[in-house]
Amino acid sequence: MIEALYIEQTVFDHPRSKAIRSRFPQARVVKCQRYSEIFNPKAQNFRLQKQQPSLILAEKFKHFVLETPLSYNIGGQRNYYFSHMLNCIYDCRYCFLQGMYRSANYVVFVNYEAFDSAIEEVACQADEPAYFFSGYDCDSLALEPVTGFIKHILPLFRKLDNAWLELRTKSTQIRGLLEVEAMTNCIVAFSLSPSVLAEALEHKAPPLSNRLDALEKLQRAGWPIGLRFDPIIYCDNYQPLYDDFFEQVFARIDLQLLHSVSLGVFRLPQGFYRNMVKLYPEEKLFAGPLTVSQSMVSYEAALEREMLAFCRTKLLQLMPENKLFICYDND
Amino acid sequence: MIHIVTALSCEAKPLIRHYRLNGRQAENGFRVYENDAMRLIIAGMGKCAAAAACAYLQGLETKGKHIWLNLGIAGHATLHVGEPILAHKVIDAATNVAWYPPLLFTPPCQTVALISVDQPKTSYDKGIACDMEASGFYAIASRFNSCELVQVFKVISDNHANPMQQVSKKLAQEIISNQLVTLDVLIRQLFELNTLLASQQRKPAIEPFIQRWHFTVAQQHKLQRLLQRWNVLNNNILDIEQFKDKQNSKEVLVALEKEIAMLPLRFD
Repeated sequence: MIEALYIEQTVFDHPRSKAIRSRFPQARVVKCQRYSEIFNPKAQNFRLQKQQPSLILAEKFKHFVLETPLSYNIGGQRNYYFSHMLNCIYDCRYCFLQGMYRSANYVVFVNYEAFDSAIEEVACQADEPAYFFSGYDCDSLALEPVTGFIKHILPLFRKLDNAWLELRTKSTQIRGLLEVEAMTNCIVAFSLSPSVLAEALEHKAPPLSNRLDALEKLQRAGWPIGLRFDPIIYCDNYQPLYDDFFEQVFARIDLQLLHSVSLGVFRLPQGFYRNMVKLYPEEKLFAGPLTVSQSMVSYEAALEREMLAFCRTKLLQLMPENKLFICYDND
Repeated sequence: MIHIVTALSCEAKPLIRHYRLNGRQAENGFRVYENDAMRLIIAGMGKCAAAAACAYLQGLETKGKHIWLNLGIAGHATLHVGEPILAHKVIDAATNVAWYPPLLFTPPCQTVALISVDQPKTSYDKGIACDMEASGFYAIASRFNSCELVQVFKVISDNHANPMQQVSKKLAQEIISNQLVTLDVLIRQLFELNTLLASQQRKPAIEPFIQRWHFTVAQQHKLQRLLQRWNVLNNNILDIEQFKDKQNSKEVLVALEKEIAMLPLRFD
């Protein structure tokens, strides 16, 4: 799976670097000064690299915990995200990462303890519950067997009364969660799309049916579940498609254990969108009725409103309103 | 097209014979050899010469994106003379700047770090190959194409047991000749990557439109993207005659946009 490992000199002998290296005994190991030497150069092609991404092990020095945009919330006022990893093992055509980064290589920051301190500090300073989102620049669980980050971070949240953790994922790597006692302040949030769209756009990700199986297992084990219908994708038959899809998903959901549902239409910063069209000019998703407004690319306003209204109405037939959150990007 | 940069003519000769390259006439400053798929330049020794040669080759055909390969001999403390290597890291000894050529294929030989020095060196760094050109080559060639298509291939010419002073033109020629099969494999892999990249960069032909109406540069970009969208959503070839009543480029673009909005969009 991983053919090359780039490791920063300063973490070359870090126990986590050694453990990760031992999982890939055949991989080429190359020392570097900083991960940015490999990750940031301009003359790289994300699409080509996505065929065979390398793994970069690095140390993070600052910005461990950042505030999320205002509309990204699931009920809390204080919302933060952190990224122990950059990039994702899946290859979803709508994902902003391919427009934001020049490299498709995965970066894992191995100094997990520094994340602990930063999270603890923010959580303790907050006068109301703080929500921490872990799946912003990567999938929270997909590379867990390699990184062990979630296994590391859960005990911290177990002792923080005032903090919530969201693990956002398309992965079925849930063994680590099932092995421990469920936590009331850790939401396992699955990103889901109708099968037709998942097959067309969510390359390398587990099929919808497998994600739903994983979700059901976690739910049975007592983990709070989140559903993330974001992005909603337009196509001519989006209404019957999402209608059936929501029915299919909620047939598996225990509303008692449902923490939250979020909804958002496909949208991207214009710069990212441009990069993505350059990488995939033949992609149907980008040939649709998109428009630019305030440097964001999304569906035309009327269509966006129609899609959100349709999905909202349908969802509210299946779930309580106080658990539904709509994500916009114009704030 | 692949652009190959060598320092010495003895490094180039085996390739000129193997790939049947013909010398270009009337070249100033550098000797250049080519066939339909390959262009080779003899740069002379040192990183400045390698960098200049890259710029010179690119200048011969500024529009194209080419594969770039630096080929030559290198020293290494322990690797056997005649062993081929591909650089997974290129370090400039003078500045300590490093490049990491991404290897998105199974390398046909072992890969090592390579340091480029300004003066010939008789001692060897542990585990690192040594040459005099790769950093100059990489710094410039990577401006002309994506790094995945810029690679450094060397054949070991000297080591602790066989010091640099013993390297002759004849030896250089011989050890490179012996690795032409490995080189063939590498070149084939790079061309495969290049084909993938080219498919990303393929653009629909806008000429029939710009011959008929005047499009500004910005409008040409817009037209190109609209035609791309048309091709994605519709398998039929767009008939330019359907726009024959349009008076100017603006009207054409509006009509084309309307046509695209009518096309079905389904993912099943």
